[in-house]
Amino acid sequence: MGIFDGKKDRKITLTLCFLAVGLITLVLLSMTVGRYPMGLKDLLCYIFFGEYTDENIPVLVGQVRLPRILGTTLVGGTLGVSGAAYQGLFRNPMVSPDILGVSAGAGFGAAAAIVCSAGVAGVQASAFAMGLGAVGLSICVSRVMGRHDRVLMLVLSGMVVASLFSALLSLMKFVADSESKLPDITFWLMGSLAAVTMEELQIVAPLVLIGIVPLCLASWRLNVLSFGEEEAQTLGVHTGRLRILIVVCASLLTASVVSITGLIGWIGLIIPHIARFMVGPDHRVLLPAAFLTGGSFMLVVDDLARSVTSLEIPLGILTAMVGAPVFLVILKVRNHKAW
Amino acid sequence: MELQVIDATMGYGNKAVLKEVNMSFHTGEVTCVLGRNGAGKTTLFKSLLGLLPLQQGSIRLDGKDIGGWGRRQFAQAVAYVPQVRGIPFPFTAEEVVVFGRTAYLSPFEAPSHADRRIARECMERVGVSHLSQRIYTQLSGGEQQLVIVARSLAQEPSFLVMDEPTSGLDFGNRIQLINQVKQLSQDGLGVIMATHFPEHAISCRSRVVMIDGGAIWRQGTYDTLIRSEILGLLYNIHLEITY
Repeated sequence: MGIFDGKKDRKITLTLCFLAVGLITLVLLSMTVGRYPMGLKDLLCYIFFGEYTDENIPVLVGQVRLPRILGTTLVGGTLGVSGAAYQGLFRNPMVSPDILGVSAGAGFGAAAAIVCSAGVAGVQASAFAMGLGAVGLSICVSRVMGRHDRVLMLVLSGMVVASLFSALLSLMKFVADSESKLPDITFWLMGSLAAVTMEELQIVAPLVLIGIVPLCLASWRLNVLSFGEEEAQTLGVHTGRLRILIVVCASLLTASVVSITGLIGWIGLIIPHIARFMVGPDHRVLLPAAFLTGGSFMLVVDDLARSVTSLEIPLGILTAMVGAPVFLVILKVRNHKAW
Repeated sequence: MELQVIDATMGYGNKAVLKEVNMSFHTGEVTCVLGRNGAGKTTLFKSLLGLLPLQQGSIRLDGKDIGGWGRRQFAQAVAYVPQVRGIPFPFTAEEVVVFGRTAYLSPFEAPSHADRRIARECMERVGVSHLSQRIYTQLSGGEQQLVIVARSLAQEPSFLVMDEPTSGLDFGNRIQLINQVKQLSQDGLGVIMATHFPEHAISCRSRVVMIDGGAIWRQGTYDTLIRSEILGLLYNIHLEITY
Protein backbone atom coordinates (compact mmCIF):
# COMPACT_ATOMS: atom_id res chain seq x y z
CA MET A 1 0.00 0.00 0.00
CA GLY A 2 2.98 2.25 0.43
CA ILE A 3 1.55 3.90 3.51
CA PHE A 4 4.32 2.74 5.79
CA ASP A 5 7.51 0.94 5.03
CA GLY A 6 8.27 -2.66 4.22
CA LYS A 7 7.37 -5.01 7.02
CA LYS A 8 4.74 -2.83 8.64
CA ASP A 9 3.02 -2.31 5.30
CA ARG A 10 2.76 -6.04 4.75
CA LYS A 11 1.42 -6.64 8.21
CA ILE A 12 -1.27 -4.01 7.85
CA THR A 13 -2.24 -5.12 4.36
CA LEU A 14 -2.56 -8.67 5.67
CA THR A 15 -4.72 -7.54 8.58
CA LEU A 16 -7.03 -5.58 6.28
CA CYS A 17 -7.30 -8.58 3.91
CA PHE A 18 -8.07 -10.81 6.87
CA LEU A 19 -10.80 -8.41 8.00
CA ALA A 20 -12.29 -8.23 4.49
CA VAL A 21 -12.31 -12.01 4.09
CA GLY A 22 -13.83 -12.31 7.57
CA LEU A 23 -16.60 -9.90 6.63
CA ILE A 24 -17.42 -11.74 3.38
CA THR A 25 -17.48 -15.07 5.21
CA LEU A 26 -19.80 -13.62 7.84
CA VAL A 27 -22.10 -12.24 5.15
CA LEU A 28 -22.40 -15.70 3.59
CA LEU A 29 -22.88 -17.46 6.92
CA SER A 30 -25.44 -14.89 8.05
CA MET A 31 -27.48 -15.64 4.93
CA THR A 32 -28.01 -19.15 6.25
CA VAL A 33 -29.09 -18.03 9.71
CA GLY A 34 -32.80 -17.65 10.34
CA ARG A 35 -36.10 -19.40 10.95
CA TYR A 36 -36.39 -20.81 7.43
CA PRO A 37 -33.77 -23.52 6.92
CA MET A 38 -31.26 -23.02 4.12
CA GLY A 39 -27.81 -24.63 4.13
CA LEU A 40 -24.61 -22.99 2.95
CA LYS A 41 -24.56 -25.44 0.07
CA ASP A 42 -28.04 -24.39 -1.10
CA LEU A 43 -26.97 -20.76 -0.88
CA LEU A 44 -23.73 -21.20 -2.83
CA CYS A 45 -25.50 -23.27 -5.49
CA TYR A 46 -28.07 -20.52 -5.89
CA ILE A 47 -25.53 -17.68 -5.96
CA PHE A 48 -22.99 -19.23 -8.32
CA PHE A 49 -25.10 -21.53 -10.53
CA GLY A 50 -28.61 -20.13 -10.13
CA GLU A 51 -29.80 -23.64 -9.19
CA TYR A 52 -32.22 -24.36 -6.35
CA THR A 53 -34.31 -27.25 -5.12
CA ASP A 54 -36.59 -25.26 -2.81
CA GLU A 55 -38.71 -22.73 -4.72
CA ASN A 56 -38.67 -20.31 -1.75
CA ILE A 57 -34.93 -19.73 -1.96
CA PRO A 58 -34.94 -16.85 -4.51
CA VAL A 59 -37.40 -14.82 -2.42
CA LEU A 60 -35.71 -15.76 0.82
CA VAL A 61 -32.30 -14.69 -0.43
CA GLY A 62 -33.20 -11.71 -2.60
CA GLN A 63 -36.00 -10.07 -0.66
CA VAL A 64 -35.75 -11.25 2.93
CA ARG A 65 -32.19 -11.90 3.95
CA LEU A 66 -30.04 -9.96 1.48
CA PRO A 67 -31.48 -6.49 2.26
CA ARG A 68 -31.20 -7.15 5.94
CA ILE A 69 -27.64 -8.43 5.76
CA LEU A 70 -26.45 -5.66 3.46
CA GLY A 71 -28.20 -3.17 5.75
CA THR A 72 -26.58 -4.68 8.83
CA THR A 73 -23.12 -4.52 7.27
CA LEU A 74 -23.65 -0.97 6.09
CA VAL A 75 -24.98 0.22 9.44
CA GLY A 76 -22.25 -1.43 11.50
CA GLY A 77 -19.47 -0.28 9.20
CA THR A 78 -20.78 3.26 8.98
CA LEU A 79 -21.17 3.65 12.73
CA GLY A 80 -17.63 2.30 13.15
CA VAL A 81 -16.16 4.84 10.72
CA SER A 82 -18.14 7.70 12.17
CA GLY A 83 -17.04 6.77 15.70
CA ALA A 84 -13.39 6.58 14.65
CA ALA A 85 -13.60 10.00 12.99
CA TYR A 86 -15.24 11.57 16.05
CA GLN A 87 -12.67 10.03 18.40
CA GLY A 88 -9.87 11.39 16.22
CA LEU A 89 -11.40 14.84 16.00
CA PHE A 90 -12.01 15.14 19.72
CA ARG A 91 -8.71 13.42 20.54
CA ASN A 92 -10.57 11.25 22.96
CA PRO A 93 -11.08 7.50 22.80
CA MET A 94 -14.16 7.77 25.04
CA VAL A 95 -16.14 9.73 22.46
CA SER A 96 -19.00 8.13 20.54
CA PRO A 97 -20.93 9.50 17.54
CA ASP A 98 -23.76 10.71 19.80
CA ILE A 99 -21.58 13.38 21.36
CA LEU A 100 -23.00 16.27 19.34
CA GLY A 101 -26.59 15.19 19.84
CA VAL A 102 -27.21 13.36 16.57
CA SER A 103 -28.88 10.35 18.25
CA ALA A 104 -30.97 12.45 20.60
CA GLY A 105 -32.07 14.63 17.69
CA ALA A 106 -32.93 11.62 15.53
CA GLY A 107 -34.84 10.03 18.42
CA PHE A 108 -36.91 13.16 18.87
CA GLY A 109 -37.45 13.47 15.11
CA ALA A 110 -38.69 9.90 14.85
CA ALA A 111 -40.92 10.21 17.93
CA ALA A 112 -42.46 13.45 16.69
CA ALA A 113 -43.18 11.88 13.31
CA ILE A 114 -44.72 8.81 14.97
CA VAL A 115 -46.93 11.04 17.13
CA CYS A 116 -48.04 12.90 13.99
CA SER A 117 -48.85 9.54 12.37
CA ALA A 118 -46.37 10.04 9.55
CA GLY A 119 -45.59 6.91 7.55
CA VAL A 120 -42.35 4.95 7.61
CA ALA A 121 -40.71 7.31 5.12
CA GLY A 122 -41.86 10.30 7.15
CA VAL A 123 -40.37 8.88 10.34
CA GLN A 124 -37.06 8.23 8.59
CA ALA A 125 -36.90 11.64 6.97
CA SER A 126 -37.78 13.36 10.24
CA ALA A 127 -35.19 11.34 12.19
CA PHE A 128 -32.53 12.16 9.59
CA ALA A 129 -33.38 15.86 9.51
CA MET A 130 -33.58 16.29 13.28
CA GLY A 131 -30.36 14.30 13.78
CA LEU A 132 -28.47 16.66 11.50
CA GLY A 133 -30.41 19.61 12.93
CA ALA A 134 -29.24 18.78 16.45
CA VAL A 135 -25.59 18.73 15.30
CA GLY A 136 -26.11 22.01 13.45
CA LEU A 137 -27.55 23.53 16.60
CA SER A 138 -24.56 22.28 18.63
CA ILE A 139 -22.18 23.95 16.17
CA CYS A 140 -24.14 27.23 16.23
CA VAL A 141 -24.32 27.29 20.03
CA SER A 142 -20.59 26.63 20.32
CA ARG A 143 -19.87 29.50 17.91
CA VAL A 144 -22.02 31.90 19.89
CA MET A 145 -20.48 30.81 23.18
CA GLY A 146 -16.93 31.86 22.51
CA ARG A 147 -13.75 31.69 20.54
CA HIS A 148 -11.38 30.07 23.02
CA ASP A 149 -10.99 26.33 23.01
CA ARG A 150 -13.52 25.66 20.33
CA VAL A 151 -13.35 21.89 20.70
CA LEU A 152 -14.30 22.02 24.37
CA MET A 153 -17.11 24.47 23.56
CA LEU A 154 -18.36 22.11 20.86
CA VAL A 155 -18.45 19.18 23.30
CA LEU A 156 -20.25 21.20 25.96
CA SER A 157 -22.75 22.57 23.45
CA GLY A 158 -23.31 19.03 22.20
CA MET A 159 -24.10 17.85 25.71
CA VAL A 160 -26.57 20.69 26.23
CA VAL A 161 -28.28 20.13 22.87
CA ALA A 162 -28.43 16.35 23.45
CA SER A 163 -30.12 16.76 26.79
CA LEU A 164 -32.51 19.31 25.32
CA PHE A 165 -33.55 16.84 22.62
CA SER A 166 -33.83 14.03 25.18
CA ALA A 167 -36.27 16.21 27.09
CA LEU A 168 -38.22 16.89 23.90
CA LEU A 169 -38.25 13.15 23.23
CA SER A 170 -39.69 12.51 26.70
CA LEU A 171 -42.32 15.15 25.97
CA MET A 172 -43.27 13.29 22.78
CA LYS A 173 -43.52 10.03 24.75
CA PHE A 174 -45.69 11.79 27.32
CA VAL A 175 -48.16 13.11 24.77
CA ALA A 176 -48.14 9.95 22.64
CA ASP A 177 -51.12 7.61 22.71
CA SER A 178 -50.02 4.94 25.16
CA GLU A 179 -51.89 2.15 23.32
CA SER A 180 -50.45 2.55 19.83
CA LYS A 181 -47.89 5.35 19.46
CA LEU A 182 -45.85 4.90 22.63
CA PRO A 183 -44.91 1.26 21.86
CA ASP A 184 -43.86 2.35 18.35
CA ILE A 185 -41.59 5.05 19.79
CA THR A 186 -40.14 2.65 22.34
CA PHE A 187 -39.36 0.02 19.71
CA TRP A 188 -37.85 2.60 17.38
CA LEU A 189 -35.54 3.73 20.16
CA MET A 190 -34.36 0.16 20.71
CA GLY A 191 -33.24 -0.12 17.11
CA SER A 192 -34.03 -2.83 14.59
CA LEU A 193 -32.97 -3.94 11.16
CA ALA A 194 -35.98 -6.17 10.58
CA ALA A 195 -37.78 -3.79 8.27
CA VAL A 196 -34.89 -2.59 6.13
CA THR A 197 -35.71 -2.72 2.42
CA MET A 198 -33.60 -2.52 -0.72
CA GLU A 199 -35.23 0.81 -1.60
CA GLU A 200 -34.11 2.33 1.70
CA LEU A 201 -30.61 1.00 1.18
CA GLN A 202 -30.52 2.62 -2.24
CA ILE A 203 -31.15 5.99 -0.60
CA VAL A 204 -28.84 5.49 2.37
CA ALA A 205 -25.86 3.95 0.57
CA PRO A 206 -25.11 7.08 -1.53
CA LEU A 207 -25.43 9.25 1.58
CA VAL A 208 -22.95 7.00 3.36
CA LEU A 209 -20.59 7.25 0.41
CA ILE A 210 -20.84 11.06 0.44
CA GLY A 211 -19.89 10.99 4.12
CA ILE A 212 -17.11 8.41 3.98
CA VAL A 213 -15.12 9.60 0.96
CA PRO A 214 -14.13 13.03 2.37
CA LEU A 215 -13.28 11.42 5.72
CA CYS A 216 -10.91 8.97 4.03
CA LEU A 217 -9.34 11.77 1.99
CA ALA A 218 -8.79 13.88 5.10
CA SER A 219 -7.58 10.97 7.20
CA TRP A 220 -3.94 12.05 7.24
CA ARG A 221 -4.85 15.45 8.65
CA LEU A 222 -7.02 13.72 11.23
CA ASN A 223 -3.80 12.07 12.45
CA VAL A 224 -2.13 15.45 12.81
CA LEU A 225 -5.02 16.67 14.97
CA SER A 226 -3.85 14.23 17.71
CA PHE A 227 -1.55 16.96 18.93
CA GLY A 228 -4.41 19.37 19.45
CA GLU A 229 -5.71 22.36 17.54
CA GLU A 230 -2.87 24.80 18.05
CA GLU A 231 -0.06 22.41 17.28
CA ALA A 232 -1.91 21.12 14.25
CA GLN A 233 -2.21 24.71 13.03
CA THR A 234 1.50 25.31 13.42
CA LEU A 235 2.07 22.11 11.43
CA GLY A 236 0.11 23.60 8.56
CA VAL A 237 -3.44 22.34 9.08
CA HIS A 238 -6.39 24.68 8.72
CA THR A 239 -8.12 23.17 11.74
CA GLY A 240 -11.35 25.18 11.51
CA ARG A 241 -12.22 23.88 8.05
CA LEU A 242 -11.07 20.36 8.88
CA ARG A 243 -13.22 20.27 12.02
CA ILE A 244 -16.34 21.33 10.13
CA LEU A 245 -15.65 18.81 7.36
CA ILE A 246 -15.28 15.96 9.83
CA VAL A 247 -18.26 16.92 11.98
CA VAL A 248 -20.53 17.31 8.95
CA CYS A 249 -19.43 14.04 7.31
CA ALA A 250 -19.45 11.94 10.47
CA SER A 251 -22.85 13.32 11.50
CA LEU A 252 -24.23 12.67 8.02
CA LEU A 253 -23.09 9.06 8.38
CA THR A 254 -24.65 8.58 11.79
CA ALA A 255 -27.90 10.35 10.89
CA SER A 256 -28.38 8.35 7.67
CA VAL A 257 -28.03 4.94 9.27
CA VAL A 258 -29.82 5.78 12.51
CA SER A 259 -32.78 7.07 10.50
CA ILE A 260 -33.45 3.60 9.04
CA THR A 261 -32.54 1.47 12.06
CA GLY A 262 -33.40 3.49 15.14
CA LEU A 263 -30.91 4.04 17.91
CA ILE A 264 -28.03 1.59 18.05
CA GLY A 265 -25.48 2.41 20.71
CA TRP A 266 -22.02 1.11 21.52
CA ILE A 267 -20.91 0.32 17.96
CA GLY A 268 -19.47 3.80 17.40
CA LEU A 269 -17.63 3.63 20.71
CA ILE A 270 -16.10 0.15 20.74
CA ILE A 271 -15.46 -0.58 17.06
CA PRO A 272 -12.73 2.10 16.71
CA HIS A 273 -11.01 0.55 19.74
CA ILE A 274 -11.06 -2.94 18.25
CA ALA A 275 -9.85 -1.59 14.89
CA ARG A 276 -7.10 0.48 16.52
CA PHE A 277 -6.03 -2.58 18.44
CA MET A 278 -5.56 -4.43 15.16
CA VAL A 279 -4.12 -1.85 12.75
CA GLY A 280 -2.82 0.98 14.94
CA PRO A 281 -3.91 4.60 15.20
CA ASP A 282 -3.24 5.84 11.64
CA HIS A 283 -6.64 6.97 10.38
CA ARG A 284 -5.72 6.11 6.80
CA VAL A 285 -6.01 2.41 7.69
CA LEU A 286 -8.10 2.83 10.82
CA LEU A 287 -11.17 4.11 8.94
CA PRO A 288 -11.34 1.17 6.47
CA ALA A 289 -10.56 -1.25 9.30
CA ALA A 290 -13.34 0.30 11.41
CA PHE A 291 -15.79 -0.21 8.54
CA LEU A 292 -14.86 -3.88 8.11
CA THR A 293 -14.83 -4.56 11.87
CA GLY A 294 -18.08 -2.67 12.44
CA GLY A 295 -19.82 -4.57 9.66
CA SER A 296 -18.64 -7.93 11.00
CA PHE A 297 -19.50 -7.13 14.60
CA MET A 298 -22.96 -5.98 13.63
CA LEU A 299 -23.57 -9.12 11.56
CA VAL A 300 -22.71 -11.31 14.53
CA VAL A 301 -24.97 -9.31 16.82
CA ASP A 302 -27.83 -9.38 14.29
CA ASP A 303 -27.42 -13.13 13.80
CA LEU A 304 -27.79 -13.51 17.55
CA ALA A 305 -30.82 -11.21 17.52
CA ARG A 306 -32.46 -13.36 14.86
CA SER A 307 -31.61 -16.79 16.12
CA VAL A 308 -31.25 -16.94 19.90
CA THR A 309 -34.93 -16.71 20.74
CA SER A 310 -38.05 -17.11 18.66
CA LEU A 311 -38.93 -13.49 19.46
CA GLU A 312 -36.46 -11.15 17.82
CA ILE A 313 -34.42 -9.19 20.37
CA PRO A 314 -34.10 -5.46 19.55
CA LEU A 315 -30.61 -4.66 18.27
CA GLY A 316 -29.91 -1.73 20.55
CA ILE A 317 -30.28 -4.05 23.55
CA LEU A 318 -27.96 -6.68 22.11
CA THR A 319 -25.24 -4.26 20.99
CA ALA A 320 -25.07 -3.01 24.56
CA MET A 321 -25.16 -6.49 26.06
CA VAL A 322 -22.43 -7.77 23.75
CA GLY A 323 -20.59 -4.46 23.55
CA ALA A 324 -20.13 -3.83 27.26
CA PRO A 325 -18.17 -7.03 28.04
CA VAL A 326 -16.18 -6.77 24.80
CA PHE A 327 -15.22 -3.21 25.72
CA LEU A 328 -14.10 -4.31 29.18
CA VAL A 329 -11.94 -7.04 27.66
CA ILE A 330 -10.26 -4.51 25.36
CA LEU A 331 -9.64 -2.19 28.28
CA LYS A 332 -8.08 -5.05 30.21
CA VAL A 333 -5.86 -6.14 27.32
CA ARG A 334 -4.79 -2.61 26.49
CA ASN A 335 -4.48 -1.03 29.89
CA HIS A 336 -0.73 -1.45 30.04
CA LYS A 337 -0.38 0.35 26.73
CA ALA A 338 -1.16 3.88 25.66
CA TRP A 339 -4.36 4.34 23.71
CA MET B 1 16.30 35.82 6.69
CA GLU B 2 14.73 38.26 9.06
CA LEU B 3 11.53 37.94 11.08
CA GLN B 4 10.35 41.37 12.16
CA VAL B 5 7.63 42.46 14.56
CA ILE B 6 6.61 46.05 13.85
CA ASP B 7 4.59 48.27 16.22
CA ALA B 8 2.53 45.31 17.31
CA THR B 9 -0.14 45.17 19.98
CA MET B 10 -0.85 41.63 21.09
CA GLY B 11 -3.66 40.31 23.23
CA TYR B 12 -6.97 38.50 23.45
CA GLY B 13 -10.20 40.06 22.22
CA ASN B 14 -10.04 43.74 23.13
CA LYS B 15 -7.60 43.22 25.98
CA ALA B 16 -4.04 44.13 25.10
CA VAL B 17 -1.34 42.11 26.85
CA LEU B 18 1.75 43.48 25.11
CA LYS B 19 1.98 46.91 23.53
CA GLU B 20 4.42 48.60 21.16
CA VAL B 21 6.31 45.42 20.40
CA ASN B 22 9.20 46.02 18.02
CA MET B 23 11.85 43.41 17.49
CA SER B 24 13.57 41.36 14.87
CA PHE B 25 15.02 37.87 14.73
CA HIS B 26 17.61 36.56 12.31
CA THR B 27 18.44 33.13 10.99
CA GLY B 28 21.57 31.70 12.55
CA GLU B 29 20.86 33.42 15.83
CA VAL B 30 19.34 32.32 19.15
CA THR B 31 17.03 34.70 20.98
CA CYS B 32 16.00 33.91 24.55
CA VAL B 33 12.78 35.45 25.81
CA LEU B 34 12.79 35.99 29.57
CA GLY B 35 10.06 37.24 31.82
CA ARG B 36 8.14 36.40 34.94
CA ASN B 37 5.21 33.97 34.86
CA GLY B 38 2.28 35.80 33.36
CA ALA B 39 4.43 38.51 31.78
CA GLY B 40 3.11 37.69 28.32
CA LYS B 41 5.57 35.19 26.84
CA THR B 42 2.78 32.87 25.74
CA THR B 43 0.87 35.76 24.18
CA LEU B 44 4.01 36.81 22.31
CA PHE B 45 4.55 33.29 21.02
CA LYS B 46 0.96 32.74 20.01
CA SER B 47 1.11 35.98 18.04
CA LEU B 48 4.44 35.08 16.44
CA LEU B 49 2.97 31.74 15.39
CA GLY B 50 -0.08 33.37 13.88
CA LEU B 51 -2.39 31.58 16.33
CA LEU B 52 -3.53 34.88 17.78
CA PRO B 53 -4.29 37.74 15.39
CA LEU B 54 -2.42 40.98 16.09
CA GLN B 55 -4.55 43.84 17.37
CA GLN B 56 -2.24 46.31 15.67
CA GLY B 57 0.99 46.29 13.70
CA SER B 58 2.48 43.58 11.54
CA ILE B 59 4.84 40.63 11.44
CA ARG B 60 7.08 40.50 8.39
CA LEU B 61 9.32 37.81 7.00
CA ASP B 62 12.00 39.42 4.85
CA GLY B 63 9.77 42.45 4.48
CA LYS B 64 6.65 40.52 3.46
CA ASP B 65 3.64 40.80 5.75
CA ILE B 66 2.70 37.29 6.86
CA GLY B 67 -0.74 38.39 8.13
CA GLY B 68 -2.55 36.97 5.11
CA TRP B 69 -0.53 33.79 4.74
CA GLY B 70 -2.25 30.41 4.83
CA ARG B 71 -1.35 27.88 7.48
CA ARG B 72 0.76 25.77 5.16
CA GLN B 73 2.84 28.63 3.79
CA PHE B 74 3.43 29.85 7.33
CA ALA B 75 4.34 26.39 8.62
CA GLN B 76 7.02 26.14 5.95
CA ALA B 77 8.71 29.24 7.33
CA VAL B 78 8.17 29.06 11.08
CA ALA B 79 7.98 25.85 13.12
CA TYR B 80 6.83 25.46 16.70
CA VAL B 81 8.37 23.31 19.42
CA PRO B 82 5.82 23.26 22.24
CA GLN B 83 6.27 21.88 25.72
CA VAL B 84 5.89 18.12 25.67
CA ARG B 85 2.39 16.88 26.21
CA GLY B 86 0.53 13.64 25.87
CA ILE B 87 -1.33 12.55 22.75
CA PRO B 88 -4.34 10.26 22.89
CA PHE B 89 -3.27 7.70 20.28
CA PRO B 90 -0.20 5.42 20.14
CA PHE B 91 1.67 6.80 17.12
CA THR B 92 5.31 5.78 16.70
CA ALA B 93 8.03 8.41 17.01
CA GLU B 94 8.68 8.27 13.27
CA GLU B 95 5.03 8.88 12.48
CA VAL B 96 5.10 11.89 14.78
CA VAL B 97 8.11 13.29 12.89
CA VAL B 98 6.38 12.68 9.55
CA PHE B 99 3.57 14.98 10.81
CA GLY B 100 6.13 17.75 10.27
CA ARG B 101 5.76 17.22 6.52
CA THR B 102 2.07 18.21 6.56
CA ALA B 103 2.92 21.75 5.45
CA TYR B 104 4.16 20.36 2.13
CA LEU B 105 1.06 18.25 1.44
CA SER B 106 -2.13 19.44 -0.21
CA PRO B 107 -5.24 19.08 1.99
CA PHE B 108 -6.17 15.57 0.85
CA GLU B 109 -2.63 14.28 0.29
CA ALA B 110 -0.70 11.78 2.42
CA PRO B 111 3.10 11.77 2.90
CA SER B 112 5.22 10.03 0.30
CA HIS B 113 8.37 7.96 0.64
CA ALA B 114 10.37 11.13 0.07
CA ASP B 115 8.63 12.72 3.05
CA ARG B 116 9.42 9.68 5.18
CA ARG B 117 13.06 9.89 4.12
CA ILE B 118 13.25 13.55 5.14
CA ALA B 119 11.64 12.67 8.46
CA ARG B 120 14.26 9.96 9.08
CA GLU B 121 17.06 12.39 8.19
CA CYS B 122 15.70 14.85 10.72
CA MET B 123 15.62 12.16 13.39
CA GLU B 124 19.21 11.32 12.51
CA ARG B 125 20.17 14.96 12.86
CA VAL B 126 18.74 15.24 16.35
CA GLY B 127 20.09 11.81 17.31
CA VAL B 128 16.80 10.00 17.90
CA SER B 129 16.87 7.52 15.00
CA HIS B 130 17.00 4.61 17.42
CA LEU B 131 13.57 5.64 18.76
CA SER B 132 11.81 5.64 15.40
CA GLN B 133 9.67 2.52 15.92
CA ARG B 134 8.97 3.19 19.61
CA ILE B 135 5.53 4.43 20.69
CA TYR B 136 5.79 8.19 21.20
CA THR B 137 3.67 8.25 24.36
CA GLN B 138 5.93 5.66 26.01
CA LEU B 139 9.12 7.71 25.55
CA SER B 140 10.63 9.73 28.37
CA GLY B 141 10.03 13.48 28.50
CA GLY B 142 13.51 14.23 27.14
CA GLU B 143 13.11 11.79 24.26
CA GLN B 144 9.67 13.16 23.43
CA GLN B 145 11.05 16.70 23.32
CA LEU B 146 13.82 15.68 20.93
CA VAL B 147 11.31 13.87 18.72
CA ILE B 148 9.28 17.09 18.61
CA VAL B 149 12.44 19.01 17.65
CA ALA B 150 12.95 16.50 14.82
CA ARG B 151 9.33 17.03 13.79
CA SER B 152 9.86 20.78 13.62
CA LEU B 153 12.98 20.26 11.48
CA ALA B 154 10.92 18.14 9.09
CA GLN B 155 8.98 21.33 8.36
CA GLU B 156 12.25 22.68 6.88
CA PRO B 157 11.58 26.07 8.47
CA SER B 158 13.74 29.17 8.71
CA PHE B 159 12.71 29.87 12.29
CA LEU B 160 12.00 27.68 15.29
CA VAL B 161 9.79 29.00 18.07
CA MET B 162 10.44 27.00 21.24
CA ASP B 163 8.22 27.36 24.29
CA GLU B 164 10.28 26.47 27.38
CA PRO B 165 11.69 23.42 25.66
CA THR B 166 13.57 22.29 28.76
CA SER B 167 10.70 22.40 31.21
CA GLY B 168 10.27 19.05 32.91
CA LEU B 169 13.60 17.73 31.64
CA ASP B 170 16.34 16.49 33.96
CA PHE B 171 19.75 18.13 34.20
CA GLY B 172 21.39 15.97 31.50
CA ASN B 173 18.53 16.24 29.02
CA ARG B 174 18.44 20.01 29.54
CA ILE B 175 22.09 20.31 28.56
CA GLN B 176 21.58 17.98 25.61
CA LEU B 177 18.66 20.07 24.38
CA ILE B 178 20.54 23.35 24.73
CA ASN B 179 23.48 21.87 22.81
CA GLN B 180 21.01 20.87 20.13
CA VAL B 181 19.68 24.43 19.99
CA LYS B 182 23.22 25.79 19.58
CA GLN B 183 23.91 23.30 16.79
CA LEU B 184 20.70 24.22 14.97
CA SER B 185 21.50 27.92 15.06
CA GLN B 186 25.00 27.18 13.75
CA ASP B 187 23.32 25.26 10.92
CA GLY B 188 21.53 28.47 10.00
CA LEU B 189 18.17 28.28 11.79
CA GLY B 190 16.79 31.21 13.72
CA VAL B 191 15.75 30.04 17.19
CA ILE B 192 13.34 32.00 19.39
CA MET B 193 13.15 30.35 22.79
CA ALA B 194 11.16 31.18 25.89
CA THR B 195 13.01 30.06 28.97
CA HIS B 196 13.04 30.42 32.73
CA PHE B 197 16.78 29.76 32.86
CA PRO B 198 18.93 32.86 32.19
CA GLU B 199 21.97 30.56 31.94
CA HIS B 200 20.56 29.23 28.65
CA ALA B 201 21.13 32.67 27.17
CA ILE B 202 24.74 32.52 28.29
CA SER B 203 25.38 29.02 26.99
CA CYS B 204 23.79 29.85 23.63
CA ARG B 205 25.51 33.28 23.51
CA SER B 206 22.09 34.48 22.51
CA ARG B 207 20.26 37.69 22.07
CA VAL B 208 17.92 38.39 24.97
CA VAL B 209 14.42 39.87 25.02
CA MET B 210 12.98 40.70 28.43
CA ILE B 211 9.26 41.14 28.89
CA ASP B 212 7.77 43.05 31.78
CA GLY B 213 4.92 45.45 32.49
CA GLY B 214 3.00 44.67 29.29
CA ALA B 215 5.86 45.59 26.95
CA ILE B 216 9.33 44.67 25.80
CA TRP B 217 11.35 45.85 28.78
CA ARG B 218 14.88 45.34 27.48
CA GLN B 219 16.49 43.71 24.50
CA GLY B 220 20.16 43.18 23.70
CA THR B 221 22.92 40.63 23.88
CA TYR B 222 23.39 38.13 26.71
CA ASP B 223 26.58 39.79 28.03
CA THR B 224 24.86 43.13 28.54
CA LEU B 225 21.56 41.83 29.93
CA ILE B 226 22.29 38.66 31.92
CA ARG B 227 23.57 40.64 34.89
CA SER B 228 22.56 40.42 38.48
CA GLU B 229 21.17 43.95 38.73
CA ILE B 230 19.02 43.57 35.60
CA LEU B 231 17.77 40.07 36.42
CA GLY B 232 17.15 41.24 39.98
CA LEU B 233 14.87 43.96 38.64
CA LEU B 234 13.16 41.67 36.13
CA TYR B 235 12.35 38.91 38.59
CA ASN B 236 12.10 41.24 41.59
CA ILE B 237 14.68 39.36 43.64
CA HIS B 238 18.14 39.91 44.99
CA LEU B 239 20.79 37.76 43.38
CA GLU B 240 24.45 37.57 42.54
CA ILE B 241 25.80 35.94 39.42
CA THR B 242 29.24 34.40 39.45
CA TYR B 243 30.69 33.26 36.14
